Amino acid sequence: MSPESEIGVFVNGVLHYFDTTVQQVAECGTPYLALGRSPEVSDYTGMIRISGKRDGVVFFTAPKSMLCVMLMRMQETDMSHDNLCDLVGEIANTLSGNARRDFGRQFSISVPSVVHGRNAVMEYPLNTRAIVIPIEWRTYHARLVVCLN
Amino acid sequence: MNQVLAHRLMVVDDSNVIRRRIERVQDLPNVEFIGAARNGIEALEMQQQLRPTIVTMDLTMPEMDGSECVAALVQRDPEVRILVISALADKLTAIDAIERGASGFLCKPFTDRQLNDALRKLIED
Amino acid sequence: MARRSSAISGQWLQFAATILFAAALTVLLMLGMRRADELQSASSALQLASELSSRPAIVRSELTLLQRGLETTTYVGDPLRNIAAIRESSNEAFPLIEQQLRGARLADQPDVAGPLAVALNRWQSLDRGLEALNKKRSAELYLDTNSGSELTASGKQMKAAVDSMLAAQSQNLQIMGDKLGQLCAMLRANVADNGRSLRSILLGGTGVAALLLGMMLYYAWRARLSAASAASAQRQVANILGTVREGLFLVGRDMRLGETCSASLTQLLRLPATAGLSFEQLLEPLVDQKTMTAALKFLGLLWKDKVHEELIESVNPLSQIEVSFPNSHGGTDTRYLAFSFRRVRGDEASADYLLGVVADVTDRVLLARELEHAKADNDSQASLLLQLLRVDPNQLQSFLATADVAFRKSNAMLTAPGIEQQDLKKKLNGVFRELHAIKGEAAALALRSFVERIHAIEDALSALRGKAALSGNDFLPLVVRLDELMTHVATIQSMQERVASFRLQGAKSPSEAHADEQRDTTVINEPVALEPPPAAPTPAPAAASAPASAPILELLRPLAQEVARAQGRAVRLVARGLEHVPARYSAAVKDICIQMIRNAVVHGIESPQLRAQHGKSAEGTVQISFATDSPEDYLLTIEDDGRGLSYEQIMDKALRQGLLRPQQAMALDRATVYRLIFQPGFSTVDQVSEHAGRGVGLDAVGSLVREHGGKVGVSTVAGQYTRFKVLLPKLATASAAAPSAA
Repeated sequence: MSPESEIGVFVNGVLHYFDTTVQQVAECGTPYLALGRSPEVSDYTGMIRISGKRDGVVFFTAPKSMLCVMLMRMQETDMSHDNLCDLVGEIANTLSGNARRDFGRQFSISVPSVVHGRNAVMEYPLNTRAIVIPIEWRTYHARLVVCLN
Repeated sequence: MNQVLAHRLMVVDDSNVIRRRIERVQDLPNVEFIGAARNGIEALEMQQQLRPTIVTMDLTMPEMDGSECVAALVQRDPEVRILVISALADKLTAIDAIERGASGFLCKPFTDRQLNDALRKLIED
Repeated sequence: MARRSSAISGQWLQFAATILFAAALTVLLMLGMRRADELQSASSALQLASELSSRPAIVRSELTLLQRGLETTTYVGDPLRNIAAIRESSNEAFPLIEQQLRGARLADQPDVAGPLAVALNRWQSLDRGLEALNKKRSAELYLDTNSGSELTASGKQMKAAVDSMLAAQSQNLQIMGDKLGQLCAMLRANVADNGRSLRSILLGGTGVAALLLGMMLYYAWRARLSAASAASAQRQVANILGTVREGLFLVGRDMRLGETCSASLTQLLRLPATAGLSFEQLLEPLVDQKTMTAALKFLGLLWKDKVHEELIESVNPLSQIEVSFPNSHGGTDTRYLAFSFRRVRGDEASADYLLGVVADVTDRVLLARELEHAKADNDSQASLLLQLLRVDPNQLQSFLATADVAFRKSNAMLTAPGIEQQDLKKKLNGVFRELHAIKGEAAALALRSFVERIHAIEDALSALRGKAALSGNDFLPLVVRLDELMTHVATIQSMQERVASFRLQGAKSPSEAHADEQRDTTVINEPVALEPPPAAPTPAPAAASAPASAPILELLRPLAQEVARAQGRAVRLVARGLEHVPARYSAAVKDICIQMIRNAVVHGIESPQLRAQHGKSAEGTVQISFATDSPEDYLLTIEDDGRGLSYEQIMDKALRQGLLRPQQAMALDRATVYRLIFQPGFSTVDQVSEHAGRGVGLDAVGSLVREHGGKVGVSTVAGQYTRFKVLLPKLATASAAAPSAA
């Protein structure tokens, strides 16, 4: 599988999540490389680690406001910290499921983890540029970051 | 009227968002939501009290995983119908869960309609 | 289910009707038999009765004969014997009649029994008299005297008895005869009735038998018909199984394959035969142990009544599997197979089986993976190393720096927000320009690994340019390639370092010697033909001190060669004044020259044959000059002696590409039309080649010139020349903030 199809699996996973779960289309912006520095994380970040044929991390990071509106779209009224963590965790979980389905045994994929706060430090594989895919939904900006060597 | 609500639905998922979503989204006329459990242990306790007839079951959960929970639920109530709902990771894991007594599988993420379709198929004879 | 029950009820109906008709026939035949018995009895009784009914008259006549005999004293033995015989037969006849009447079930009927009883009664009283007569028979009746015979006393007694009987019993005889006549009439009527009813019964029986026969014939015909339609259905199934491309097969509960399967199954699975195999044996050559386990478990699930088969489709481990088959050349063919299963329910649970369908989805899968396979395998370290050894280290260094800047700039464009169509288009065009410029430089240095990579990206981007609606996702391959390019830059960088250290240690390598030779040519100040290479190198006063501008011509010459070779042209490059390019313009001038030379060779210079036809020298000339005469601007002129710009072609193309509307086109002057060639996306050559023709070249020039606050113009004479003039301001303008390659 080519690298762009691999990344495409994650991008489509996220877009599909929006289609199905909040039933409102999200669009992705032009992807770019995070040069010289680590990509910033937003308020809530759901992450999976990948090892095997390729090593690295994939995470979905979104501002609190966006997650709240997503919950609202899902008719959830409880906007607690736990529920927000739940939501990004669920998205990461979906990514992990998609990856396992599409990548087969060449990859081993961790259970998703959730980090909170914009100061969170992510561990990236060395000597690897992360590809950042902006995810635009309504007026909100989230990012999918794929960093695989 | 209670006679019409022939099916009593229990949701087992460690994600609160998913639990509440299933509760809200399911709109089959003859299904009544009776409760949600956060893990396998809770699910077994709730089964004693609430006697669900249908269950949606996450696979990866703390305490007791979904597959084990399926087996335990079915052992106590052979009639209970279980829909495994999970981000499809390993097909063998899903197959195992169905082998242990579940009736079907729904892949996360799902739309409202997909969920209702799956539940409808779950309760049809 | 419905069809099955209707078939069953049809069979039942047939069975029941047969039974019913047979029963009716039996009943009718039994009735007929009874009627026949009765008829026989009745007619026997009639015969007896009619015989009997004549007896009173006979008795009377015998008695009369007896009386006359006695009177005439003649022999009376005969009448007496006759009367005795009548008595005997009549006494026997009455019980027989009664018996026959009972057999005819008429004994209880009053209109039959009545007359018989009366007749019997009368007969009995008559019989007593006759019996008395008979007793006297043995006595001597006559006595022979002289006067003749005379009656004896017994004779007289007998005569008196006969006389009185004739008188007294005459009424009895009359009544007996009447009653027996009555009985006979009744019996005759009865026999006639019975005969009629027997006839109708037999008629009915024949009818029923005919119906039964008809029905049996009908069912036999139906059975033959349904056998024929079953045979035709079977033929159709056989046709389907023979022609369907998917492999169809049945798996029983014992996990063995059924005998029926489609012909393609053996082809798909490359098995000699499948009948009698277990599913495991079928799968064994195809999948690994883990998949096998999962597959067998999955099939097991389908047998579970609790499981909903549609709800477990997504966990089918055989929904797509990769399999390898040995081929005739000793290698292996990789195919992708997709299995699906359905439980088919038979009449009862034990008759259920699974219908398996297997299809070859290789084409679909390969299509999806084509991109992956299309990746060039030009990455081997050896070929990279060879490529590097041919290039001058300083030029390479400069190229790598320029490339890095261009890539960063491209990435910066992508990083900028904006997902509207116009934003995306702008990003696309911007990245295209950047990469195209780098490709030009790479081509000039013959760095094929870069050229091919960027060319592949450009192919993808060209496709995107034609797309009506872009999405961010479309840029994903671009970013991945960009990442690869940056990695490639790093790889080349590290290799370059190793090569450099190797060079320091070793003697002067041939390539370096070659590079030195090339560097010598850059200092040539006078117009110089590039082909053949200059024979007499001239001293180079500026070259060493101005490394930024020095490599320009050095870069351009191999570029011109390369492009000319690829296009089948012969080109001479003449350059003048390039050493005066100030450092801050060196990158821009270099880029502009690269594009212009390409453009000139691809669009301007004709093929040698064509040039010969037009009376031109086979070799085309591209002249480049850089003039510093004007106080405000530097003037860069690039001129070729090719076919010139075609006003009509440009107009036509601009109209087709939607850059112009027809009514606009009418109003435009020639100069404006020519300026269209600097518009993004404009190209007059339809065929895309590595060297130009995507129209990006002049677009890039235009954009570069504008970036530096300069101007660009074109003048042309058809069939003679095309001359581009680029004015670059001597004073740096505010917009000249573009990063420089240095």
